[in-house]
Amino acid sequence: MALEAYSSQAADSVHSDVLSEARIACYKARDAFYACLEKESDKKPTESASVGLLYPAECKKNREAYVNQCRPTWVKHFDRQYCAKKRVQRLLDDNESRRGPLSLPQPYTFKPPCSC
Amino acid sequence: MCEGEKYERSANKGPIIGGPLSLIDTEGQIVTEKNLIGNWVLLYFGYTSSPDVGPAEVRKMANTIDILESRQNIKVLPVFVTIDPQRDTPSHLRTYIREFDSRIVGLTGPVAAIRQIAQEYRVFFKKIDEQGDDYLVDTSHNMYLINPNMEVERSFGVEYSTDELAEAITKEIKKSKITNSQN
Repeated sequence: MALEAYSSQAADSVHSDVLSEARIACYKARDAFYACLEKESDKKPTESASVGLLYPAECKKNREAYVNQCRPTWVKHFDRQYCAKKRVQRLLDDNESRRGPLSLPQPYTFKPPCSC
Repeated sequence: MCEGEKYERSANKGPIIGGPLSLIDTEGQIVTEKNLIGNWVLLYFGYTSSPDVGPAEVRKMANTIDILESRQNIKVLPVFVTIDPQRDTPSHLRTYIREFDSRIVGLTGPVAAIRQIAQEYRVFFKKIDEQGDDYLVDTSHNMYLINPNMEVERSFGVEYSTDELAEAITKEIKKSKITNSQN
């Protein structure tokens, strides 16, 4: 039976990099990296992270710690999430340039069509 | 009463999902629907390599079970079925679940068995972001409330908080108890 075969063949190994301790360490390194991005947001982003995310050279150490602590697929997942969050923030903060009715240069006065 | 009548439900209850299962628990023992019948079951389809949603959902499931037992005196059996059986072996699943709540029954098995139960419960799951041996699994992270007759009562998505989930489950169970006692 396939089930018994599976049970007897299944490995005893445990992937410790997804367990609680590893997760917490990963989240900590991740938060430290993104905090650095926020702090250095005025610097020019020259380094490439993943999924199109760029970051300034000032955060390189944080990035290395983050990438070492977390699985590559997790890094990609969180980078993607961060980019999406930034995009939404940009849309919400962009309140001066593109929102609301256009203001005309002069007050508009309506002239009735028939001047009798 | 003939066999067909058992599965009659009113039109507004939604599609009938669920069905028999045959999987391996974290001790390497075979578990089928016969082991679950008689219990209210909260069934979650997830995987241990989930970066954030997975751990949050399992934590939510554990806390909800606690609330139901301590505040409502309702016993619900929590079950975690992995949709990543290749990496989630019985021993790994046991270690992962134990960190949350050892009451949670962890189920895995050969890919074909997992595919079958996912099909019955209409659970979507797909490997994404494959990098060598590593990958994520795209899935809805839904939880299913199953009554003691192994019928799916309803499902809950990630938008439910622990308290909301406990409240909704309590409501479903109390409603169903009322129907049963009137029969």
